[in-house]
Amino acid sequence: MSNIYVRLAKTNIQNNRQLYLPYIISGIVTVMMFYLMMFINNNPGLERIPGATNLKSIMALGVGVVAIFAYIFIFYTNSFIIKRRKKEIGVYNILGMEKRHIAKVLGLETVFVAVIAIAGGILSGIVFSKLILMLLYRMLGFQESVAFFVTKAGITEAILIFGVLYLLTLLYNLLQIRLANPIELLRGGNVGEKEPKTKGIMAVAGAACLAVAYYIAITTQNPIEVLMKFFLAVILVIAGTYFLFTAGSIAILKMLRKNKKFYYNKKHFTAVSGMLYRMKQNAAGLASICVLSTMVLVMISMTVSMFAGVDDELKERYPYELSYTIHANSMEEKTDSQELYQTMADTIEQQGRKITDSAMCSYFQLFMKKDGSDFQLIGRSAADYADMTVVNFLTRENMLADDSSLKAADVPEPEAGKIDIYSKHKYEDSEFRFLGQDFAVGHSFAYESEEDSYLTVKDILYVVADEATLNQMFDLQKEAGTNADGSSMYSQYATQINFEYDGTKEEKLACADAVSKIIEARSMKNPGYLESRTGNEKDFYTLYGGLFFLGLFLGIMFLMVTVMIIFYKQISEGYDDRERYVIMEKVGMSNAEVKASIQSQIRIVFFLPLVMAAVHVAAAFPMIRRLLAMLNLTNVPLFVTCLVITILVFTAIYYLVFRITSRAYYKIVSR
Amino acid sequence: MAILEVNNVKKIYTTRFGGNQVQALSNINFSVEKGEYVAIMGESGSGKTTLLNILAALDKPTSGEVLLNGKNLVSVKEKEISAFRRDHLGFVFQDFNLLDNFSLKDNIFLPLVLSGMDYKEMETRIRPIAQMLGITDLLGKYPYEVSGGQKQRAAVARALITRPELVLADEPTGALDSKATDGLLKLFSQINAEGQTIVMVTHSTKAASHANRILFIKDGEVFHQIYRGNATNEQLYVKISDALTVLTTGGEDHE
Repeated sequence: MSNIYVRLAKTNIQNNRQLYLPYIISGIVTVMMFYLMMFINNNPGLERIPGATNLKSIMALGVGVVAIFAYIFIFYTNSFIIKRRKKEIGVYNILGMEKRHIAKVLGLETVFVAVIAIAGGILSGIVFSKLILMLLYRMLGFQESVAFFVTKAGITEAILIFGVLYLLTLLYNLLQIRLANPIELLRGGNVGEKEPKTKGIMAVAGAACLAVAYYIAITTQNPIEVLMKFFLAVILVIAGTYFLFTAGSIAILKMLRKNKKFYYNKKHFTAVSGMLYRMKQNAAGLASICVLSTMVLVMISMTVSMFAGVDDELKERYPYELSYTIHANSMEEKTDSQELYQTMADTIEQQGRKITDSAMCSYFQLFMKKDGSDFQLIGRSAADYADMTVVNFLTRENMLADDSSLKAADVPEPEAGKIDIYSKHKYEDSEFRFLGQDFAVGHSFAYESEEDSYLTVKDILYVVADEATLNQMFDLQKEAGTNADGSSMYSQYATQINFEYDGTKEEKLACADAVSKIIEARSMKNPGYLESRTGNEKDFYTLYGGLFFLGLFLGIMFLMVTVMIIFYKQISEGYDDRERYVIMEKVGMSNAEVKASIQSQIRIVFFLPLVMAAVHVAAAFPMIRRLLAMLNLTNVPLFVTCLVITILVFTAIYYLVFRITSRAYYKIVSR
Repeated sequence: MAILEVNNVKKIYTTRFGGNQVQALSNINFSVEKGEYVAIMGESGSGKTTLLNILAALDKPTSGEVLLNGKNLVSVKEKEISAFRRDHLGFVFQDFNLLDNFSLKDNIFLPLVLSGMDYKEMETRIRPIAQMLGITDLLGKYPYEVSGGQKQRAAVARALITRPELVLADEPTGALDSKATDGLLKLFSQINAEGQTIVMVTHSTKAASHANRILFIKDGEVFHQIYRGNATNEQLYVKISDALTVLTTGGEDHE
């Protein structure tokens, strides 16, 4: 007896293979991706990669994203399939199968699908795991043989997460059937749908959401704000897109219909009414396609450009091959920096390296808040960046050394005892009131260094003065910054010594090692820290390579989801539209006219999300540019190139999918 | 003058596999005069639907010719066939064939829009037709909001608005209750009285009894025909019933 249910479940899946095949395949691919993410995350070989912690957290994020999307996506696909199958289930019901028998069949079907998807996904995951790890290693520039490895955690979590997911789809399907009577089931998908109502408020809300999101994306300058508001903007864009597609499209179509001259035209008549009729059920699908397309475009273009520009980013983050920073408590202590510079330079040359560029810069930096007219110290950790002014104190020589783009004529020698102020907003007062004491301002200039343009604070001041005046100011802040309880928030003199030199990677590393040893040998009370660009290169590659890998991985997954949504949408529309086109042909519409009408409708419905996605990306561009700048990528042409290529490739794939699915659609309509 | 002439029409269907041939129409000959109201009757499988499809230019005969106003339907090019049907023929179907996504008015306008007519001209055309059919107040409604009889009237309006030479009706009363049937048949008579030529395929004796002439089809041939003469609908009803009895029982004797 039970055999008949198994047989029925099997033939059901076979007979509905047009629906089930993509469902099962996408299930397999999703499980595989999940397994691969888990595999990379749990691979013991990963520990040996420099910067593995970064990579691990990136991959953990990937696991989460894949799982969330798997839930949304598989649920969507399932609800679509069960809607299409209602008629068939209604027939079983009428033929005398009770609902619990139907439940049994559906349960078995779900078990089949789940077993195939999960087992197939894990198996293909295991098969591809070595390949994917080799690929990842290559991207990271990490040379190590890849051992075959199966992650138990990956298998158990995949079974658990996806098992629950398929169980939930079954519960959903059973609920659908429980709620319906046989007649309703028989009617299935084509319940006479009413014309959608215009939802004015929703349309306005959608437009408003998008306007605010675009405004944020275009106007937010401050990097910290960019980071915080980016997610707000993303959520607003998603909400706005959904609202606008649901309500806005209907409003526009109704407007078009009101225009009699436009509406009662052969080209627009059937298209406008057809779209209006289907917009209600399609809006969500179209909005999803739009949002997913935007995600794919942004994610892939960002990670690709970041990876392509990794050398630029490395240079941006480490402007010099070797950089030594040391702090000192007074100007006197600081003076031996010249001697230190010489020692380092000698060591580098002893190693056989030729110094191509070097710079030394001493300054002290304070975080201050303007209290009335007086500048007061605030702690470094003060959260209120918006009120904070960063003040750098340095001599003219150091000012010139700090920003190599400045020419000698740009920075005049300050008058003795007076200070010159360089700031973004030109300092207008003639006095600079600093911790209760007034300093006369000689000149003030509007100035912003490139580096500073990514900082988030209210203003950045460069106070240029002679050494005596600087010392006076240093002591003032030292006194003010020492608290009664012994803790301190005063600053130290920072001295940066930078070298750029030639050589192979190994030679550069050896040289950095030698310099490091020399500094250690001096056993200073305050040893400072040494940074080598080549020494940090691997970490950098791991971070950006990991992001690139994840971007591609998730990009492919989102693309797959997009393709599936498009496919199922086309199929369901095909079934819905079939009758309508039969009628139109009877009333006197030629085959060619039917085709043309279908084409124009599909084209609009298809390319609307793509165009909208492109608009989203364009609006997000300024914000993405700033985000990338924070990640050390300032090469805008590189990003634009990557973005354009991504859009072109995506459009090509999208078009291909469009062609394939419209063919499936024609087949259904003209059958 | 004959508006429609059907000469020696033969239709053979060949099944896709094995080449079994089924003769749907063996030899059909008849003509319809301008202003006539002709009903075609026959049992299921007699070839009625095939004949109607050929008259409607939806299907082509295997041999023979169909002349509408002297123009041979068989020779109309594939490309022009839809436009030809739109301009010269009007259709009324059993299941109305109204589109759910159009209001009744837009449904009625559909063939005109397809012909590229000016909107103002459409508006002037629809007014008298809607008035005659009593659907003026319903024009803004959607098919799922009105009754079957009202839907069929909208479908009739759609058939008439192109001012066709010939209206073809396929079981127009098949999906209607008796009251709506009476209403529709009265309308058909009225339309016919105003000069519209109608060919109706039906197996409802009542529907056929409103026609001027009834053709009986059996085994793919015109088997018999009855002229109304001066008979009332009721008298004609009796005549048709008798003919049908002969058609079914007499057929057996014939074998």
